[in-house]
Amino acid sequence: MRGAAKSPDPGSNEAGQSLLLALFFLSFFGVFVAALLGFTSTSWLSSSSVAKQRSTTYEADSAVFGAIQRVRLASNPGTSTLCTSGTTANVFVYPSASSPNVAVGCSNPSTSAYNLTVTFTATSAPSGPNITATVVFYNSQLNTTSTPTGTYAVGSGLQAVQILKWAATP
Amino acid sequence: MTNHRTARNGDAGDTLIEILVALMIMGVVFLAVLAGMATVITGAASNRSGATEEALLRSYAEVLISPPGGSSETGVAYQACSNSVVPTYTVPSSLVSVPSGFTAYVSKVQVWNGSSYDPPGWSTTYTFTSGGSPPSATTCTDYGLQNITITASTTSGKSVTETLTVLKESAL
Repeated sequence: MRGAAKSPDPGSNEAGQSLLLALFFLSFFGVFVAALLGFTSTSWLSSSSVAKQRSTTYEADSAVFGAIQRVRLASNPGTSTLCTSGTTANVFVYPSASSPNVAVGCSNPSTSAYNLTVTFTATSAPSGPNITATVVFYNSQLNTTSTPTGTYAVGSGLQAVQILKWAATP
Repeated sequence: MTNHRTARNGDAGDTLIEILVALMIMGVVFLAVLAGMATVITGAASNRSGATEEALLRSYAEVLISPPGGSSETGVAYQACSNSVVPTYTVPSSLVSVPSGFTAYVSKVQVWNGSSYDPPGWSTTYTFTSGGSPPSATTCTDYGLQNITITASTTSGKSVTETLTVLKESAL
């Protein structure tokens, strides 16, 4: 009788054990898969964030390039009205695919010997990177003393440019 | 025997039912686990391809927007368009190493119209395909600014494509 009492008795001692086992595996693998999916999700979000950051940085650079080119096309940068004291209008606005368009303003313009020195600031987004560039536009037709070496790839009227400073602020 | 089990506790066949229920649950769970694992593996492979393309695009763009010259050739010359010239950019393999299974190329070149700046307007657009013939020349006046789209994609396995657009200006 003692041996019979200790034998497996589905009706009493082990009732529901299989179900409990199944629920245990369910919980274990559920947590396991959830963790793996969490890693994948984090990785994907990280990649997306890096890609967006990359785009905004290049968009800011591109916007300043555009601003430089627009001023450069002026026939006489030293007397150009694009960047004069008190100018607040955007010189160039580069379209952005993922954030507000990147607007470039200019500040601290100064002229010397018909040249124009100006600081461009590109703001890519409220929290995005900004580019600040200080650029000298040389009037190659009037200034014969400080024109930098270089070639003019396109047309006539393009002015020589020297970038004195190019800084990115995160 | 039957009478004995029924008389003992009335649980005859309960274990079998439990096992069947457990098997059903386990089957569903394993299917879900397998599906989850497949998603994880696919996602990881996609992320890995995306990260590789990300690095490739950055390298490609840096070379593309940099002018050539200096002690070592680090850039690509600006190619002005004309009525007979299509600006075609190719980054030499000596400057950018393209990983096996990936490709990167300039897929579009837009030429600035020289007047619009908010937003800039493009007078001419050239579209390129990987390994294909360049588009035909058309009427074009270059004002020293081109909007260039770079495309990086996988050449095998699951297709993953990323693009990056940069502005290239003529030599300063």
